Amino acid sequence: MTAIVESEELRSSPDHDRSANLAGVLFGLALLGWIISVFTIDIHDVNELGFAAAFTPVTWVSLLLASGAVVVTVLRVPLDGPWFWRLVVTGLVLLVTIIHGTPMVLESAPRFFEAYQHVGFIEYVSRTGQHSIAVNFRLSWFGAFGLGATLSGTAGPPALFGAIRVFPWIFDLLILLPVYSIISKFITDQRTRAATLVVFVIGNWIAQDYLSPQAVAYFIAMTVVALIVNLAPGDGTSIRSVKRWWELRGGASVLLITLTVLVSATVLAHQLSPVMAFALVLVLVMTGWTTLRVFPLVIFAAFATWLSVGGYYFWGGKIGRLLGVHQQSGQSLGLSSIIAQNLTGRLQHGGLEQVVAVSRVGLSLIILALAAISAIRGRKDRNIRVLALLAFIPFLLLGTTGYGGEALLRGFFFALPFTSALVAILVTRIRPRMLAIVLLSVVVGCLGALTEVSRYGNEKFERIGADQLAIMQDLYRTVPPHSKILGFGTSMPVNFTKIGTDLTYFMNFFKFSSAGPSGPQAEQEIKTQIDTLSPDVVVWTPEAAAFSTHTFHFRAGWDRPILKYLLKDRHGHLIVNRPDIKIISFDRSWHPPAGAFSTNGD
Amino acid sequence: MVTSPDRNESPVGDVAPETGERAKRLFLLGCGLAAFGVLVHFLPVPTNLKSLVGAVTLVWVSGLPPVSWLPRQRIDLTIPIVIAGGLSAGVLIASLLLIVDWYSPDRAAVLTGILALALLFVRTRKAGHR
Repeated sequence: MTAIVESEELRSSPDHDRSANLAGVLFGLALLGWIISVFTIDIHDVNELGFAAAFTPVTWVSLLLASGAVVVTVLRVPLDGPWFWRLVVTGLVLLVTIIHGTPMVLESAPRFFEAYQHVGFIEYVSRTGQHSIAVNFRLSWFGAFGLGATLSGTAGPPALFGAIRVFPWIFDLLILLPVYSIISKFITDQRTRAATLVVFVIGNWIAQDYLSPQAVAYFIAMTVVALIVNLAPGDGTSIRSVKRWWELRGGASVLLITLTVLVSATVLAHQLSPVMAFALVLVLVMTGWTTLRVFPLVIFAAFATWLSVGGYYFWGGKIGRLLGVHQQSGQSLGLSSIIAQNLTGRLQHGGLEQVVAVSRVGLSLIILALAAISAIRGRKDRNIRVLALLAFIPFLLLGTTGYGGEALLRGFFFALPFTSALVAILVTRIRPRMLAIVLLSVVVGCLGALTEVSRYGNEKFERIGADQLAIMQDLYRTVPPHSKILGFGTSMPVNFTKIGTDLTYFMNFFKFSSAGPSGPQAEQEIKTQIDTLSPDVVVWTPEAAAFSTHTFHFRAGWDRPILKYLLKDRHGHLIVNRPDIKIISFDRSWHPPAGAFSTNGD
Repeated sequence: MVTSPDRNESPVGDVAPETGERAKRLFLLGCGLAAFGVLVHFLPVPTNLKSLVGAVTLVWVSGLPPVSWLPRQRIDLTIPIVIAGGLSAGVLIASLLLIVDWYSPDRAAVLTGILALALLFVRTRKAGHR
């Protein structure tokens, strides 16, 4: 605390007026550099490292300048002038734009294949007015898809490819508002609040910000927490003094109604987010941070009710799903497997993939370690203890959900506002001398680079080409209704339309014997299941095949003998034959008109 | 650096003297936004732009009722309330219509907008009588 007082005195010296000018100039140069980058980055340079590999020296310089400007702003710009928060907001927008806006602007078609499926669900709800779980069990949580259909359908059929592109950038900016509202109740120092937002931006590599129900539910859940800590604050009496704790319960009915509406929306939108909201609110209640003592019961009741009614099709007959057992390629995964899939499994790659995997685990561990150090140092401060509890509680849920490989990521994401606050408390104890500012600027720049690699690296299968998308649109437009479409893997732009009319299957969801999809019998098992399924159309993309290898442990190069089998033994007819996509038809009655596939020139 | 929770910071349930005026302003804002969204729908502009304006105005209008009822807050909390409130209203009404098998995007959008304006109107009347 002494160090903080000293640094405040240091910051109030007259030469700090110049720091606002310096930060402004650095921001201007960084913006100029990024604009130049957008016109000079060659998208073909993107490799396993993601967009970081295509970044030009100018891009890196602009990231470093933006980082430097942010550090100068947070540590040096006077708080009593008008410029502090203006510069902080400028810095946050610039950092988010460099990290997430570059792919948004440059990708020929927006990533990510899951987002296309969500567009398909929205289109299905819009077209049919139904939410049939026979189409997909995810329609058990149809709230967000219904919302998407309502919002996108205000002017005709949904046209959401543009929304897929801009959604991550908009989400990554807007989420900073509820995060700020939450941490402002724990932290009074404005520099620490600003630093929290910076850490949140450079720590957010989780890729849970795409067009999805979980992104909508995350925003609503964080707003719930923000409303509770701001509008129903407790007096700090924890559960240890049970009698007094219970006496201090209550809250305005308007607030309770509003919170119940928000929580009900998350319950209808996404299976996991209400559980995380429940955990966070429970911590706030137990520690006396809110007077809404019974509100966790409201969340639990809403969650349990919908799980018993609407979500029954998700777990009915598969009770293991609720206990953390996840199915993959016909094999059951328990908690240890999920952790292995998230951590050790991700590190078992070679070359640049290994670099990306290490950067992801490393970035997460750096943030968690700094948060832990901050929590230990500030353990006598009650607020820091509560922040640490809030940061810890989402990970407890890892073993209680059937969420599979994303569970740890979701836990990290829900903990991120609080780990960021703990890291910020630690960082802002540093005296803002010139050397410290320069070093911190380099560190923030390096962490920003790590975030770029972690967020956009490795998953080449996440990328989607504009030609691939155009060909898939042509396919859906021309293929006869009720066709069976089989993909080499889920990582392709499919199911964005005509869900429920055409049936889509994926080889990575085939069932395998105990040896799994890399076993000696795997190739024959795939062929047998293709024969049994008897698809009308098969779609191959290199990304889909790579996805099955990377995530579902198919053997490398498994797709080549299968393609040969489809073309030679099953006499498939190549409708589209390109290096980036092949469409094989087995429906002899389907004759696409000439020019139906507009980009099938090579 | 850190603060203790203080019940006095947020006067939940307290009604500031200007509440009636504020509710009226929010109601007029909601009506204006809704009118703008409907107007753009009939203008000869690209469909994507119509969708964007329609979606933004619908979320904003349906997120105003909680703002009108809750005590005045800083902008960093008001904007999340509006967005989360608007999204939640959209989720709940779409879900309700889907459950009763009466869903269509137009129906859901109109119902959400009208319900939000009705709530704002009720709030204006109530606040006006205080």
